[in-house]
This record gives sequence, C-alpha cells and structure tokens, in this order.
Amino acid sequence: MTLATHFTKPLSHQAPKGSSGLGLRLSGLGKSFGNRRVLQGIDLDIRAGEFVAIVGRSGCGKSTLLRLVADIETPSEGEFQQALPTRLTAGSTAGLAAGASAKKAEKRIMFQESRLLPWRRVIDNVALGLPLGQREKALEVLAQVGLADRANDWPAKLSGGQRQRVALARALVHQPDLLLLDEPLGALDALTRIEMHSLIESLWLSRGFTALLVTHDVHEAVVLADRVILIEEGQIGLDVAIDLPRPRSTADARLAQIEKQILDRVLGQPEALAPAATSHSANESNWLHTSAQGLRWAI
Amino acid sequence: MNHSLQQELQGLSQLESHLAEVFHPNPSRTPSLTARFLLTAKPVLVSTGRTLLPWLLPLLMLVFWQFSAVQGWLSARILPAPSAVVEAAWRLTLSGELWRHVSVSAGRALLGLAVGGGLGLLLGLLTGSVRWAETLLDSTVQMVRNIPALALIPLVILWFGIEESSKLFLISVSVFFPIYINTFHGIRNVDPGLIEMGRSYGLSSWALYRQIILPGALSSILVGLRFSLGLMWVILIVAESISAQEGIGYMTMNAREFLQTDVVLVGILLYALLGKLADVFSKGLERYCLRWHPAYA
Repeated sequence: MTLATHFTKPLSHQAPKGSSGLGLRLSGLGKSFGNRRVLQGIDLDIRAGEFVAIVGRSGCGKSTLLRLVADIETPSEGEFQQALPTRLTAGSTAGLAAGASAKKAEKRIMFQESRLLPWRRVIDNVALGLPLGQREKALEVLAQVGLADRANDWPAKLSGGQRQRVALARALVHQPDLLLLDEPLGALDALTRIEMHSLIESLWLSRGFTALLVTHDVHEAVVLADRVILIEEGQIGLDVAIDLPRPRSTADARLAQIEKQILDRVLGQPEALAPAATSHSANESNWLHTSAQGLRWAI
Repeated sequence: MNHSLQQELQGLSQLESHLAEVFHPNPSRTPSLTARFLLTAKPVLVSTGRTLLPWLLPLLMLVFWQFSAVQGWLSARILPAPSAVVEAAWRLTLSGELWRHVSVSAGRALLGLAVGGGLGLLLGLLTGSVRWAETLLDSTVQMVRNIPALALIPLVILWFGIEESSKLFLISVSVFFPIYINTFHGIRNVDPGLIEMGRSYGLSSWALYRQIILPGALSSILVGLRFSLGLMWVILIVAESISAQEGIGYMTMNAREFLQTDVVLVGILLYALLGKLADVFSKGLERYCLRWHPAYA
C-alpha cells in the first residue's frame, strides 16, 4: 500500500462545496484472511467532500473495505491513494510531496457500537486524543450533537442513541477530512435513526468532510448519500449516483424507486439492474463524469 | 318534673353513646388519634425494626453468655464473660500493649501485601500485555500456584529462620497469586473494540495503556486485591503463631500459656476487626474507582 500525498493524475473534480474533504482512489484493492478472499479488485474513486454509502448483504466485505481505508487492516493486494484536502496543501507551494508529508490527513471512524470508554465522563470521551486544555473544543462539538448538558455524565447513563451522538462528537472533534461510519446506526430504533440521519447530514453539509458510510439499510444509504455502492461477494456490483436535492423527503417517489431498484438487486430479483460484470475500465471514465444525472452505472 | 327526668335520661344516653365511641371507635369514621399515630409511625417502625432485627440474636447470645458466666455455668478458663473480655481489652489499651501488637501485626501484613501484591501486579501486567512474557512465565507461575503457601512453612523456617523475614515471605507468597491471576485476566479481557478504537484515534502506546487498558483491567485487579486481603490475615495468624516476639499472634499465644483466656479472646476479636476493616477498605476503593460502573454507582 502506498499513500501518495496527491494523485498521479490531477483531481478532475472539486468537491461541490469547495470542501476540506479527503479524496480517495482505490485501485485493485483486495483483502484475504487466510484462504478466504473477502475483497478483490476494488476500483473506486471518491471525490473530496462526497458522501458515499456502501451497502451489501452481511459478510459481503463492506466493513472490511471501510477498515482498509481506516488503516485498521492492511490490504493484501492493490493500493489506495489519498488526495489531501486543499486545507492542508494550500500554502505549501514549494512542492506537494515535501510539504504535505508532514501534514497528515485526519481520518476518524465511528463503529457500530459507540465504543465509549465507560470510565471516562462524556466530555472526556469526546476529548479523547485531543491535546490537554481543549475541553472547550470538545464541549462545543458536544453542543453540536445536542448533548452539552450531559457532559459530566458517565456513558452508562446514556441511551443508545445518545451514546452514538457522543461517538459522533468524538470523531468530529478532530475535524476529520474523512469520516468513516461503520453501521453506526445499526443498533438504534427507527425514530432515533431518523434524528441521527438529519444530524449527520447537517454536520456533513456544514463541515464538508468526505463521508463513507457502511450500512445494511438501503433506505438509509439512499437518504444520506450522493452515491451508493453495492458490494457483492467482495466486488463492486453497483455504483449509483443519487442526485436528489437535500434535505431529502422519505416520501420522494424517485428516492423510493432508486431504493427499490437497489434492494431488488441485493435480493437477486430477476427484474433487477443488469449485472455489473461489464468492465472495470469503465470506472476510470466515470471518475471524470460524475455529474451524470440520476442513476449511474459505474461498472 | 317528669319532663326534667326525661331530659336527664336523654343526656345520660348521649353520654353513654359518646363513651362507647371513645372505647370502641367506629372504624368507618375518621381514625382516632392513636390509630392515626400508629398509621404514620408504621413505616418508621418497620424500617427501624429491619435495621435492628439482625442484631437481636447476637445481642441475646451476648446477654446469655454474660448471664452464664455470672451464674458460674461457664468457667473463666473456658470462656470468660464478655465484660471480662472488654475489661482485658481496656487494660491492654491503657498499658499500650494492644496498640504495639496491633501496629506490628498490621505492619507485617501490609508490608507483605506491598511486596507480594506489588510483584503480582507487575508480573500480571507484564504477562497480560506481552505475549512472549506469558509464554515464558505463565505456566511456571501456574505450577507454583498449586503449592499451598502453608505447606512451605518447614522450608521457610529452614531458609529464613523464625524471624520477621519468614513471616514476610509467607504473606508475600500467598497474596501474590490472587493479584497476579486477576491482573492477567483483567488485561486480557479488556474489550478489544476499545483498544482498536484507541489505536485508530491516534493514542500512543502509553496513552492507550494508561487510558484504556489499565482502567479496563481495574475491576478485575480490585477483585484480586480483595482475595489477597482475606488471605493476608489468615496467613498472618498462622505465621504469628509459629513464633513471634510481638504482634497479635504473640499476644494470644503468650496469654494461652498463662491461661488468660480473656486476652486470647481479645486477640481473636482483633483479627476479626482487622479483617473487617480491610474488607470495608477494599469495598470503598471499588466504589470509588469503579464509580462509572452501573453496578457500583
């Protein structure tokens, strides 16, 4: 795996909001555990500031993909490159490679379980890994997720949804360029999920980080993401752009249609979208034409 | 005249009914003063009763014991009266003997705990955190653990004689294992998800250890400490009975030779008191250190 500070080819697209997000290029990425090949030949370009959702049946390798990007696992084959956000590269005119190597892109992951430290109060959980004396910053982010009044409680006193909000605050306090979400809402009830959707969306809109969401809930993916990627048996099966205005209404017919099409494909219905076995090279050209409207077949 | 008699009779019957009401109050009407008192006092009585009731039997036994001793049913050599025990304790306190023996015994116990428990903690942290240290050391420790500490007494006397060091050694050896085992398991049972989270949030190894692994293992380490404290007093009693020039054990063994059963009883009660004190201390420590835990909050 090589981590280049910028892509070999210049990024053809700026993020829609001129954001500080991290661009990602995965080429031929694969991961095996022993003899079991979990992921293979993943080619994927993610623009800075894009919200990408990865869906698939359980065990399809979607979480592994996220963990590869999060540097928790190392790829068995292939590589991924990161394009540093303009926030970090701007100013170092002398040369990206030299200047940017000192600066590190911030990547933060949010897990399915909150993984709060039960022996630290909420505020100290949010401040985890921050330099000392940055409690105000932590408190500020905690207020953004609406839990400022619970700062001095133990995590055990919070509900599941509140814990995930604290976990979100803990991830955001580092001002990540890339936020990785590993089924963070999987264990929450339906109402709390809807609240969390709008919270995540509003924070993403205001901060402009790149977001990569792994979920088994196609509806959630369609509501939140700019682009939904379906992983089937370790490979990319579908790549669908969702070009609907935000905030999205769940009653939107177009949303429901896209959701149904993806679900049919997941469930292997005959009328589902055409199999994605055409060619991987098509991915390259799609990178350059991400402005396509509505559904977009990437592979 | 007739009329006034009638009035008088009427007044009498009124008085009668009034009296009847006082002595046999009608339950359907508002409760009388006593009933109201009983109603409001009931919960208070129940709660005080619940706190006092467990003490009833010990108190009765104590009274019976005192009574039997006074009646001469129990000889002072077998079991002196509770009052005699209190008297002996007071006498020993006044002479300063009690404090000297208690402080020597407690000093021995705590020093043994510090040495044995400290080593157990360090070694448990090492084998829990470093894989090769576990491979190298753990099976040996587990083998040695099966030797009862008291079985070592003859050997310990041969090695260290009957001085302080032999007592210290026995206590250290016996408190070592509970702390070692629980520390090891505590470290191994820290939620791997939390460690993974800490790593991906950029904590250095030391920060990870201090902020996640140690606090995660703490509840288990404290369980080990509680086991060790219990064991510490047992071993201390045995070690002090072998031979000593000071300490509660010496005091009781000495009193036995002079048939001072009251002093023997004072010694036994002191051991019980110190054991209880250690238990209260470790419980308090748990309650403070694990106050984040719903089970201790």
